[in-house]
Amino acid sequence: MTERKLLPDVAKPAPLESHVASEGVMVLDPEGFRVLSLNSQMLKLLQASEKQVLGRSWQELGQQRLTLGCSDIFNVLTADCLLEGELKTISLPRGEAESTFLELASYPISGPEGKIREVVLVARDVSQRKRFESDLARRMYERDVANEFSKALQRTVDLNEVLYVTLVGVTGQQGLQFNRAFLFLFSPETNMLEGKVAIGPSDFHEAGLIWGELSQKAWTLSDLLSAYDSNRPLSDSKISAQIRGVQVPVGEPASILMRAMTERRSFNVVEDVADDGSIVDPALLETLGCGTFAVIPLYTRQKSIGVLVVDNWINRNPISANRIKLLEIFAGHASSAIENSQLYQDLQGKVKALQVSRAALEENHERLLRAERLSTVGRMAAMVAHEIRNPLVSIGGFARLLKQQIPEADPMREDVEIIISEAERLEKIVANILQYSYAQQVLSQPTDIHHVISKTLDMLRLEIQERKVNVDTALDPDLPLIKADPAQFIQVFYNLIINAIQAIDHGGTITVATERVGNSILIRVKDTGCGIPEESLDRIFTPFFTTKPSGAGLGLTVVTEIIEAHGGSISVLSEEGKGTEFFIRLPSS
Amino acid sequence: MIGKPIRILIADDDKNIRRLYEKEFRQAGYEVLLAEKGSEAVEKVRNENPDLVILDIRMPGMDGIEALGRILAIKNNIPVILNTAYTSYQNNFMSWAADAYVIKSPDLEPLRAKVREILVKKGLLPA
Repeated sequence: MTERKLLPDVAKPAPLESHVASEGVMVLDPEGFRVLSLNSQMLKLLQASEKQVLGRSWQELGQQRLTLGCSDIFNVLTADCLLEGELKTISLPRGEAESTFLELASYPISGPEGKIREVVLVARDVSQRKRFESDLARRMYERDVANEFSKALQRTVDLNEVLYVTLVGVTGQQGLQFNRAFLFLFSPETNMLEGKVAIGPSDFHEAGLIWGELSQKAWTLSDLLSAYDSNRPLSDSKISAQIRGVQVPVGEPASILMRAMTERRSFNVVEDVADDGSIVDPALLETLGCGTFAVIPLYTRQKSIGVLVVDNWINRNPISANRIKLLEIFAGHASSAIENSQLYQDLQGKVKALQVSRAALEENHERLLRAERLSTVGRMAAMVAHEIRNPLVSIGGFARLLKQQIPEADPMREDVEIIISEAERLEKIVANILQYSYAQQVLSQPTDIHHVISKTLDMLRLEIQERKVNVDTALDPDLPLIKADPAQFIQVFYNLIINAIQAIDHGGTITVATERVGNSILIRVKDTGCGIPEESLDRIFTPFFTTKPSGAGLGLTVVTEIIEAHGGSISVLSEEGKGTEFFIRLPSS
Repeated sequence: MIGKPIRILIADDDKNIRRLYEKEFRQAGYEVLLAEKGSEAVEKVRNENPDLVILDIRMPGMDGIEALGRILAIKNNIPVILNTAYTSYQNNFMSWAADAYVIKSPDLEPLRAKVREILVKKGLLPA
């Protein structure tokens, strides 16, 4: 039992009304708990007049629900509580306004004989503290959610997973608790804002099912965020289909989505009207099926990423300014994560390209080494063989001449024939050695002409850039392989394309096109250059013919020789001042 | 042979081969000019008006490939046969400007046949 000899406030009535004005004080008799006296603050807290309260018993007051806004006080504190000096906090509803929180403390006061003389009840308005506390709790909760969210985003660079985490974080019961969330991402290729993925029930029935299932699983936010399954993409959901196909061109002033992205501000839309007074376009309202929602921009310092749209379509909860602020924090995390994953994807692509070219380089290196080894042995053998061949020609040649001068019956004739046949034998050995040492040099292998073309264009990239030449390709994806020496065909396209570049001089177009024609392939190399004068046209393939100030005049001769060696043909069409087109036909098998 | 004899210019740095070819082609009824260097061959094309040239490739100084280019620059319709111990120049696109490429052999019949074939094609010999 807590006992107090004196309560200073009560002992000095004057300050009771002044400096402790925030505390209501009431004195009760310990038997019937009748109100003996009370200060004006107590009356204010009770929202009652002195007449309604003074002299009335505790029980009586507790029953006056209708007349007293605060009858709860009398019901919460029982007689036992009052006598034992209880401390309690209660909340009093105040209609439209926020509830008032009261901290009630009773102080039984004993007389000299130890008997309780009266009970003093002190009521303190702690609403503000309560509000701070709940605000603090909310902020801590929000911070935890934001932490979980950003941790989940940092775990992955997979764009689909990032989108999943964003949407789940916004809609999860342990997250921001929105009913639905939609993501629209900006596509630099189309220059449009495009509907990508969404999450949420597509009707009330589904809402019941989803939330029923989730509440049974008792998942934490972290469980939920980690539940991403790449085999079940969000984009397959019914609700994603609802926004797929939505495309908003950049600069569309009527679109609140586009405005949110370009102005980098959020909009809170209530009943079709945004918080800046603008009316939302009907097409978007139809897509969402709901006129109350919030639009949050997704962006990083360098670029706009898209927008996030959230609503409470099922439970119709209003969206508070606090929630929008929190959404903006979420959106910031999500934006960096989306940008990161996009950069990562880019990088992956580049790394892959590098790996491919590195592998090609290694293969080439390998081949070069092999060729080098072979050619060292081959060169020595060839050198010796060639040195032998010249004297052999003389020996054999003169022996043949001698033979013609010796009569058939002369036994010397047989001797000379031995020289001739032995020279022939040596010649065959020489030819075999030379054949072996050159056998590997001309290749005939299944060759992808597209690969050859792209390799050649790579080799000429500098020239193409320097002359500001535009290269178009129209390549037949079903083009069959041909049997060829790829190195020789690089020479073919190199010669044709370098001619085209020189014919264009500056700023024109070269078109390389391929197609399958029956059992052969047709390759066309066309330029918008100066063209070839008619009188020169039938001489361009002959050796040493050239129109260039420097050049051997052998480029097209080489081209023709290679193509004919592969069983193909080449022809040309040209118009002076307009351009030239070469047609190459090659057998495909 | 009809009218004036056909002149063949043979360029080879090997003395024995020059002697062999000279005998061989004289016997076949041609008039033979000889050159032991590429530059000499170019000079003789300019001054002595041969009907056909047989060029060795490996020669000191100006080689047969370079001589081929110069000869064609002087007289671009003159038939030229490259005659060499080397097969490798067949892949050298420069040699594609020649009318024929014959590997040296003790059996001169293939070379003789090639000369004849070209001369017939050019209308200098009856078919």
